[in-house]
Amino acid sequence: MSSASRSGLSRVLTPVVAALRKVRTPALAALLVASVAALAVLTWRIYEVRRDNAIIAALKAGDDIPVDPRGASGEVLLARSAFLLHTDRRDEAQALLDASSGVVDAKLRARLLYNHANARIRDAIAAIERADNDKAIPLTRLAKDEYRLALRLDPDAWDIKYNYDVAMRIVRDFPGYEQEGEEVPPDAPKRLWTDLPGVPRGLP
Amino acid sequence: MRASLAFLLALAALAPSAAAEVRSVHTIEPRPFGYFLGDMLERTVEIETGPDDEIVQASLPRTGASNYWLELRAIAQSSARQGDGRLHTLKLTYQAFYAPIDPRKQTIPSTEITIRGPNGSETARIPPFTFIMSPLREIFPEKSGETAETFLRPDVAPQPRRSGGLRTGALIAAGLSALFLVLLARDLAWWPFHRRPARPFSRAAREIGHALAKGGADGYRAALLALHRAFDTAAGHRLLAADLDGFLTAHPEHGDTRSLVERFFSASRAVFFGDAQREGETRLPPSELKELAATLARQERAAR
Repeated sequence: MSSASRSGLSRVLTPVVAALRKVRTPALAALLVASVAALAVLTWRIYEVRRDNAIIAALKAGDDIPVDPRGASGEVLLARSAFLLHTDRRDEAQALLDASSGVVDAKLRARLLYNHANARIRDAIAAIERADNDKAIPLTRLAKDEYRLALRLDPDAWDIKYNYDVAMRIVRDFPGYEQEGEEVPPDAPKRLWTDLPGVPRGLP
Repeated sequence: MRASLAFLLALAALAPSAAAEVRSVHTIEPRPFGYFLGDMLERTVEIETGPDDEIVQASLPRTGASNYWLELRAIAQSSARQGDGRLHTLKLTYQAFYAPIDPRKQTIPSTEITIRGPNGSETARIPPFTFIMSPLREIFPEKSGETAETFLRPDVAPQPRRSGGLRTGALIAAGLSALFLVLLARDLAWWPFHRRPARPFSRAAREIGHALAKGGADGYRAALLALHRAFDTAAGHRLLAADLDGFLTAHPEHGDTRSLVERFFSASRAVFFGDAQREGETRLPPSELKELAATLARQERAAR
C-alpha cells in the first residue's frame, strides 16, 4: 500500500525534479543577483542612517549644519527644526515646516508640528506678558491649528493633547463661547489666567 | 425626553412604506464618558433592510469637519445577506477636538441616510450619541505653583534613527548571497568545486576556452584532448567512437547532440591519426567545438 503510493508520488515528482534541474542554473544566478542587489540597497540605507545620525548628533550639540528639506529624512528635519527653534530662527523654522509635507511618517510630522506650536505658544505668552495682545492672538491661533493637525496625524500623543488644551484656554477658538454661560467656580481667583490676557505667573 | 423622542422616530422609521424597506437601525456605541481632547471614537451602525435595498452613497455623512469641534475621520461600510434581508454595516470614526473646562456632555447629532430599493427610497435615521468629555489640565494652575514655563509639556527631543531592521535585513541578504554563490559555484563546477567528478564537461568547457584562446594547431589539439578526457570521465572508461551508442544510452541527456558528438570523434580521428589537421579543423571549427562543450556542460547540469 505504502510502496504503491510512494511509487505514485515519485511518478509525479520525477518530471518535476527533472524540470527544476533544467532551470537550476539560471534560477540560482537570478537569486544570487537579487540577493546581492538587496544587500547593496540595504548597505546603502544603513550608511544613510549612520550619516543622518551624525547630523542629528551635531545639531543636538549646537552645530549649525544646513539641511535640504526635500532630501533629508524626517528625523533630520526634526533635529534641524529643534535647532532653529532653539536658536530663535523662527522664519527658517517656518520654511522648514512648510517644506516638510513630504514626511511620510505621520508621528514624526506630528512631532515637528508640535514643537513648532510650542514655540508659538511660548512667544504668545511672552507677548501677553508685554500686554501685546495683537501679536498674541494670531500666534495662539496658528499654534492651535498646528496642534490640531498634529493630533490628526497622531491621535494618541498625550503631550500634544495637553498643550492643545492649554492653548485652547489662552484664546477660545469659536465665536459665542462666552454666551454658553461657562460656570465660574466659587473659589476662582479674581484674575483668571485662562482668559486672555492672563497667563500663569508662578508663585505670588 | 430625548430617549422617548428617539424611540418614536425609530418607530416611524419601522413603519411599513411602499418604497425601500428599512427594517431596523441598530447602533453599537463606544463608552459614553472618559474622552479627552483629540480622542477618537468609533460608532458602528447596523441597518437591516429588504434584500435588494442599498445605501445611497451621496447621503452618507462626509469625512472631514462636521462642526467646529468634531471631525469624521473615516467611514467604512460593508453589506451582507442576512436571512431574507440585507444587513448594511457602517463604521464611523470620529475625532473630538472639544476642550472642556469641566467634564461636559457633547452630542454627535443624528444623521439621516437614504436607502434605495427597487421601487423608491426611504430614510434611515442614525440616532445622536452623547458622551462626556473631560479636561486634561488644571483650571487654576498658578494655585499649585505652575508657571508658563512648567505648565506646557516640553518639546520632543530629536532622536537618532534606528537601523536595527535594516541591519537584520542586510545580514539575511548577505547570508543568502553567500548561499546562492556557493550553490551556483557547485552547479557550474567553479572553484572550489572545479574537480567535481559529476561535472567533467563543465571543466572541459573551461579548459577548451583556455586552449583555443592560445590558438594554433597545439591549442586545437589540447582542446580536443580536454573534451576526450571529459567523455572518458563521464563514461567511466576510455571512450572510443565505437562505444558512442552505449554512452548515449547510459547518458540520454546528451542524445540531442549526437550528430555533433559524432563529428567531434571523426574530427579527432583525422587530427590525431590522419595527417589532415586542416581537414579536421574545417569539419569541426574551433567555435563549434567550444559550443559543443558548452552544450554538453549545460545538458550535464540539467541532468544532475
